[in-house]
Amino acid sequence: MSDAAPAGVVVGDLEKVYVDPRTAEEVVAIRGLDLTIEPNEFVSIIGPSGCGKTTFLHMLAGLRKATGGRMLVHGKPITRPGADRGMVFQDYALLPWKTARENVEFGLKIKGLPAAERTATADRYLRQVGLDGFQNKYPRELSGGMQQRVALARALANTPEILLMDEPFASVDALTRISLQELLMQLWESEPRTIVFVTHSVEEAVFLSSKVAVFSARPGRCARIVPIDLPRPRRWAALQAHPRTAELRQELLALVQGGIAAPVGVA
Amino acid sequence: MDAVRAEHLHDVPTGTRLVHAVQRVAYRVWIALDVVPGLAAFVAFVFPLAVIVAVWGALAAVSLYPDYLFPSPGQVAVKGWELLANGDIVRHSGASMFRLGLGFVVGLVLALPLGILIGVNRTASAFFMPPITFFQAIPGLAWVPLAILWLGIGHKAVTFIIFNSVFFPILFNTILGIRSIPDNMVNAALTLGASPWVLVKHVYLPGALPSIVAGMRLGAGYGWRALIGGEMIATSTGLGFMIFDARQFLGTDVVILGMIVIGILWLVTDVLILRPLERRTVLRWGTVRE
Ligand SMILES: Nc1ncnc2c1ncn2[C@@H]1O[C@H](COP(=O)(O)OP(=O)(O)OP(=O)(O)O)[C@@H](O)[C@H]1O
Ligand SMILES: [Mg+2]
Repeated sequence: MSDAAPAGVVVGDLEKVYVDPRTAEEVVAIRGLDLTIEPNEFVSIIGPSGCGKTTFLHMLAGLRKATGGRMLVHGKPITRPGADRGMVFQDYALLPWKTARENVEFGLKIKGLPAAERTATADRYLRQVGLDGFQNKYPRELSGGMQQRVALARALANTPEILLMDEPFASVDALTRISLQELLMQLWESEPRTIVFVTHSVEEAVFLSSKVAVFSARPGRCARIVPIDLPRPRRWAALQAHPRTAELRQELLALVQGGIAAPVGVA
Repeated sequence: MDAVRAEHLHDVPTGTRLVHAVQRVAYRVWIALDVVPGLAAFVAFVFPLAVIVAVWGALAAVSLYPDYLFPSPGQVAVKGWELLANGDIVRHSGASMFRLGLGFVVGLVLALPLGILIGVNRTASAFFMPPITFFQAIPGLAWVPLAILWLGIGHKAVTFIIFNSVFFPILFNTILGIRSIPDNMVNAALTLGASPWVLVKHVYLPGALPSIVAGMRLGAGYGWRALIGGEMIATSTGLGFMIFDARQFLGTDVVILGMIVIGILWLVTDVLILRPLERRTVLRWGTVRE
């Protein structure tokens, strides 16, 4: 039809087969995965353990290669990692020999920004995630939740078009998790961008997302898309009371636990 | 209560009380020495050595060996003064230290990039590891004959032998350090747009540094041992040559003197350069690996 490249992310018939180099044994992690992500959409991925969610994110980031199918970002195939696709890891993955500020500055330094500008930008993002005054601390001097904030600031400061988040709040305590979720919502609502967010928590997916992609058990594929038609801005206090919240949670839980997404062979 | 304790004290055997008294005095001395920072630790280090020298002196006095085979501490001290005055010790130590430094630098400069390459790249690892594992098993001194034939007697041959001893520990520790960096640290840098060079500079090198420094210390130690051995055969200067040469003229005092200088030089290098370097990197980098 049109020559214009489709905006956003288009994934078609994606496949990833891992081959054990010693035994030549094959594990089909993903097969027949189709998913379309609109620009500035907040998509959560939910599904049983081992269904290929991390694998999928890493392939979007260009950290692992697909063994079949298509993955297009703005019409262009993904070949390698790039600053246009930022990532937040479950284990924070901060560089221990850099301070909080140096970690956040790192991407800007790679881009060649002058030092003064880098520092100003890093400090602004650190303030946004509530870490004013911790700029010169090393990761080991910060709590888990604070480290995850630094990792979030680091990814945001680099202004990626697409932000990939792999269970970023899974390893922090419940209260910190809630404050990080609200923080992420505020940031996203004031400055929307495409976010692909992997989680095991139905509550989290409902709270954050524009739509939720429910993956099937391995080999993973997108079994169902559930649009989250909850009002914004999203805040926990308001959302808990909303009648749709409970319905959507029920629906997702049923999909994850029973039927399509049930893990096979899991005791 | 007090009565019980007093009685208890009474029961303590005289021998034990004597030990306690000595301990109290030792403690007082320790505290007194501590006025100067590090002095107490220094005395604690030197005292056992002083005992050894005393035993050596006693043995020399009653020894069945003649003086020229088993010299007394006094004889060695006199010889030490003489060789210090005529510049022999300085000359030979200088030659040894120079070679160690040169061999060390060459070893480091070659081992570091190769270690990074092998640690990062699977193909490079598959190609280089078998020959490296093989050559690593050959002691540095086994290279002496070839080193002499190829490079002649002198600095070059000895430096080559030292290089051989320094290279492998640094190489292996670099590989180990690189491989123990968590994948996601590398992934994080990649998703921030890091080029291979940025990865090396900001992730691989700092991440592997504590391990690299440990390898440097190990390598310097191996190099020092190989140096003395190599100098005995492949050159006509250096501490190794000095003690081996003295043997021909039954100069046991020079031999022992040389051994003492070798020990002191190594300790000084280790305490003043290598250990602080190791402590600094470990301190600064802290808990690098989660
Ligand atoms: N590097 C790898 N080599 C071989 N197999 C792998 C590798 N990474 C993942 N797999 C396999 O691929 C499948 C999907 O793994 P992946 O980590 O993507 O799952 P996941 O959905 O993220 O799971 P979880 O929810 O537990 O994090 C699993 O069966 C896993 O064993
Ligand atoms: Mg995962």
